Amino acid sequence: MKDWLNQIRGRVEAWMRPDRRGGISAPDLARLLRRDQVLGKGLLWGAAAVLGLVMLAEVWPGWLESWTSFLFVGLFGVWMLMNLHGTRVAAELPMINAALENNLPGAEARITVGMRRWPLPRTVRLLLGHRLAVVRLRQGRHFEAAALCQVMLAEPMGPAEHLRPELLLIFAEARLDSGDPMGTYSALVELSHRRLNLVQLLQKVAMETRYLVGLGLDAAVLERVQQRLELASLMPVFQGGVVHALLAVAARRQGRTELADWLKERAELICGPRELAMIWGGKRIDLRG
Amino acid sequence: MASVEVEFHPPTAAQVGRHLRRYGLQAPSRFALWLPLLAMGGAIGLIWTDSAEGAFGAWVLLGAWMGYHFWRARRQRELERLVSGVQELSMLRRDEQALRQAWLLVPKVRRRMDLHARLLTVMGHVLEELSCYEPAMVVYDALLARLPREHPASVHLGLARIMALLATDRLSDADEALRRFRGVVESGQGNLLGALYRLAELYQMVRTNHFADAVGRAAVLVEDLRPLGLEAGYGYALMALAYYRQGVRVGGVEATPGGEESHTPSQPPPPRGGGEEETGTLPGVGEQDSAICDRPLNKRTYPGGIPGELPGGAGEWWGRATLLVGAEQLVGRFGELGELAWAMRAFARRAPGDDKQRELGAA
Repeated sequence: MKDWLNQIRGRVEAWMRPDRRGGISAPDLARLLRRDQVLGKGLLWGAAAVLGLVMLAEVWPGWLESWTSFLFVGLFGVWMLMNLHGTRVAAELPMINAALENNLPGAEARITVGMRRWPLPRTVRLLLGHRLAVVRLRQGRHFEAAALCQVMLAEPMGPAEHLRPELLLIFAEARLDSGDPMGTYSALVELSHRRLNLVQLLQKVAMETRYLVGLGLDAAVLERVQQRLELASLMPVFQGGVVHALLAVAARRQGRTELADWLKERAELICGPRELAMIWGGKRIDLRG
Repeated sequence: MASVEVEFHPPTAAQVGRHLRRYGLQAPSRFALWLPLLAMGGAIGLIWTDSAEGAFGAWVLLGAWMGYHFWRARRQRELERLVSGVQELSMLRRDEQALRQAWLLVPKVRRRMDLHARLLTVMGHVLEELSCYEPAMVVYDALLARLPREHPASVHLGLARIMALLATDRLSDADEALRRFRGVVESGQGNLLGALYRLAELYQMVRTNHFADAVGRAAVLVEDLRPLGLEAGYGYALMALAYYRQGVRVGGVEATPGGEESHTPSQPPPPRGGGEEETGTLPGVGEQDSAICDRPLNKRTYPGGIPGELPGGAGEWWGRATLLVGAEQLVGRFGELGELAWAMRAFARRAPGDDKQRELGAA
């Protein structure tokens, strides 16, 4: 009996706090998102039910029992608590963003603490999930980054829909880094059907260039080289330099020596010869610089 | 509906100052902060009446509060989208459009410190791009007043302000400001702030005719300015100007704008970027490529060896500069480069290397 109870308790705890076992994995995130969805729907239907009861009380006076008022207060309280948690975690996001640049363990710790909060608005959890995918990508854990993105992309995102292109970009990069061009291709195709803002467009172009040059599709990458270069001039410095270098590689392979030399000269001025030597040597390219 | 053509006039410093004072930052509304508690208290009070009307009233209150909450969140998202749009316009160098939208948006984001700061940063940058240095400085001052002195954003804005000071000939103010940042930036060599500082320093040297000092930095300039990316082209152009003016002083070249015949080129410089006559002659480059390669390919354009030696390296630095940034843009930002650009064009016309280039182009 005791074992059975312990087993039940363990399961409930795992369901309630899957992140207790360490870092948050893709299945954990999926469970947390499902739980948030259940709560969100519960609140919505609960509110609708109580409102219905109040309406009935208007038709048949005296019908309304006092417990409906307490149900109302309970629902309102849970909703308030959820928003309070959401506000607190959202306030942490700028610090998480800053930590993503120079302190990945710190960022992960903050994300984990945020994820442990319950109830939490689904949008905020998706924002945390996005940051977690970035952490995994920067840690070089590409499979995990891709899995996290896949979990979030499979969910309806509601007000966090603007995250979808970001997640597709992370997914594409993670798949490319883990040697899966098909996954990258599918993400790039989906991205090309979406309306992207300028920063996302620049990321996509950088990714696409890397993908095409990596696969040896040099003619395709040079087809709209002028447009690519105009966009590269708006990219962050190192990323723009890498795009120049990749285009130089493609141009040289296509026998367009003048263009290749011009691009190489530019890339050397932007990135520096040491960084470029890695690209010429065919090593893995970190587009984030 | 007939479209209305609106002529664009950049705002004056006084107009910018008035606009920023009128629509300055405001603290978040206290009412909005207390609203959740007020709504909760009101709802509990209504329920306490223990009547159907009370319960109904509580629901109405809750509904109203939730509606307000969603409307507010939606409005915030919309404002963020609009501010991002303005930033995109600025990135795409649609300066007039960006400035107009930023101007109109400032009153709407008074209670959002982050959005207000983002908009003012865009305004300052765009005004500087439009060569409206005085209004830009007003914007920078408004932003700097909010930030701690050694905050990276403060240093960044301070350095942008120094460039504006130098452009408006307030050299002593610029010198003082540069000294103030020296300690802060020296520790951050190899990063963006360090590069911006070096660029400001170089501009100061050129403005104050300390060409020898500027030329003395040539060995490390490429590394120093690398974090600027394509913007480093402006620094290379300033270095070219320093070389050129030093050469003029020494007596190698007697270049005066408007007196083309007085030039005595010792060696052919590279052609200026942007001109069609130069771009069409690049050998082995297709139509699309030639549009891109509108800037000189130093070693290949003049296979016999080039530019560099215009007066002592000016050509070489100008070649680097125009490899990254178009000559028109260079002159547009730093007017004093016009003289050098003009000289380069004059040299290019007379350069014997052009014949070789034409041959290559025909081939």
